[in-house]
Amino acid sequence: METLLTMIVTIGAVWGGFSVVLITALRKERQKSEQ
Amino acid sequence: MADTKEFFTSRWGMILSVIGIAVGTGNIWRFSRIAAQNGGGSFLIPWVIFLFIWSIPLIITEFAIGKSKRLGTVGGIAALAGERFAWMGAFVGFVSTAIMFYYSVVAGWCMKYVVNALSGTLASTEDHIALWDSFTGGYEPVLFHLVAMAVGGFVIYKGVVKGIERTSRYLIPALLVILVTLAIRAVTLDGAWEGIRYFFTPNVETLLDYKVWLAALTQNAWDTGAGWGLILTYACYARKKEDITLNGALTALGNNSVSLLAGITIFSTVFALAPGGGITELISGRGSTNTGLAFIFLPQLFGKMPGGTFVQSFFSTIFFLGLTFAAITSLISMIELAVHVFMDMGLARKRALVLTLVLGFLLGIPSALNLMFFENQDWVWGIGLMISGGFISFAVIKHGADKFRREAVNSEGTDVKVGKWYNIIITWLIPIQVIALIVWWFYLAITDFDKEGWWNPFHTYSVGTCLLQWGVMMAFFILINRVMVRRIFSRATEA
Repeated sequence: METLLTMIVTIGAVWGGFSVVLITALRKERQKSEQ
Repeated sequence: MADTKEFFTSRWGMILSVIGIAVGTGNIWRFSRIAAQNGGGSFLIPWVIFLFIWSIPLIITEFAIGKSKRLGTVGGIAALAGERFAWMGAFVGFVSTAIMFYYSVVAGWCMKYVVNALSGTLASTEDHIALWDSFTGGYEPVLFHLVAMAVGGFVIYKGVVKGIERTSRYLIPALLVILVTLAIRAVTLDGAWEGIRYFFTPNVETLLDYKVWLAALTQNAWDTGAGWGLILTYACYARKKEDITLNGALTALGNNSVSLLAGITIFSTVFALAPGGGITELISGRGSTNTGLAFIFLPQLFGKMPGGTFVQSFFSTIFFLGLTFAAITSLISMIELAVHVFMDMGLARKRALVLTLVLGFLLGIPSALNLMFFENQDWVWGIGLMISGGFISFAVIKHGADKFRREAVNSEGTDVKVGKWYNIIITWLIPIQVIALIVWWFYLAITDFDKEGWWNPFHTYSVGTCLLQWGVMMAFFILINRVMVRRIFSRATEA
């Protein structure tokens, strides 16, 4: 149980965080190019 | 002012280049063994916390200084904190340059092992310790150090767009493909799950141990490139519309994502191919040092991989190729840092590059020939990086953290604005972390590494050797502070 929890927290924070920031950056970039 | 007419052509070109700085050999060969030595899952939790209170704020700070001041470490820190403090910027730049002297040797080792893997030497050898000892005991490391400096120099010679950006556009995706390939092979080996379970299982007792927290902080300080002055240098070439917050967060999270992938790969490989004793080797045996893990223990494990010599040679080749790509993309940023500082002081780019390459090659030779010297330099300037992080934080505090946040961080192009939490981290948390780290490493040197001779400046892992080498360089930079300021700012005014 604690293994799964650590896995979710670590992977969520690092890979999840990276994905969220990447998607935000892509969206902002598209908005800027549309302007 | 230095020639900053060249800019990264796109956000992604810049991000890949900056991730190239952050992702180095430390993500692959240091992260896994430090995680193993500090309880696996128990280490990951503080490691993630320090990503947010050390790496990301410092990377954002470096981005903001470089983009707003358009000057290298010396000029950037002086422009922010005041001309009296140019020597601090010089120290930050010198620490990364001193690391370049021996990091080029590391890049050379990786290149040599690509050759060893391709030629079948690694697959056919019985004694990997003897192979490593005979290589490092001879003159070949000097030759490969020369090749690494030449490759790095060629990239910088081509410039920011055709050199740094183009190289990173190829090498970083290639590195990612290599790591994913290795990870897929590793997790599909019989017994790999045991490794993954070890890697992610926390232990409450270990989690409460302050040493695990300090190890996690150290890993963030050493392997994300935060506080080195390298990101500050690349940010001088950022376009006005570059977003500082998103770029900074992407760099730090991208770097730690690579570490996590490397960790999953190495733990799976160790538990699958060396069941029983493998983890002990990683914690206290042949794999317990960076070079021991990469050049002795892992090649031994590749030799046990099912599928025969071809498969073993294939995976060992791509592993060392990945390690070489990680080393080269970091090495070029260290060369660029020194070149940029010399350019700020009035040297033409080509002259600055030749001077950096000649100095880099000559001053790297002792590390290439003598592993004790190499280890001493790694110790002195590795801890020196923590002072660099402190100096960058000091410059922001001196300037006014809130003013810096409003004017430089949340500047034109930054869509996601940084809140006041940044002021607290940069003013309080970073200095506290710097002090804790330096006190901790010195405490270890006095009580463990060198109990008898911790004060002796000529011992490899002593407090004395750090104080002497830092002291000499700081005194020198304080002496030439005025000269540096005059050269940089008279040129900036003319421009």
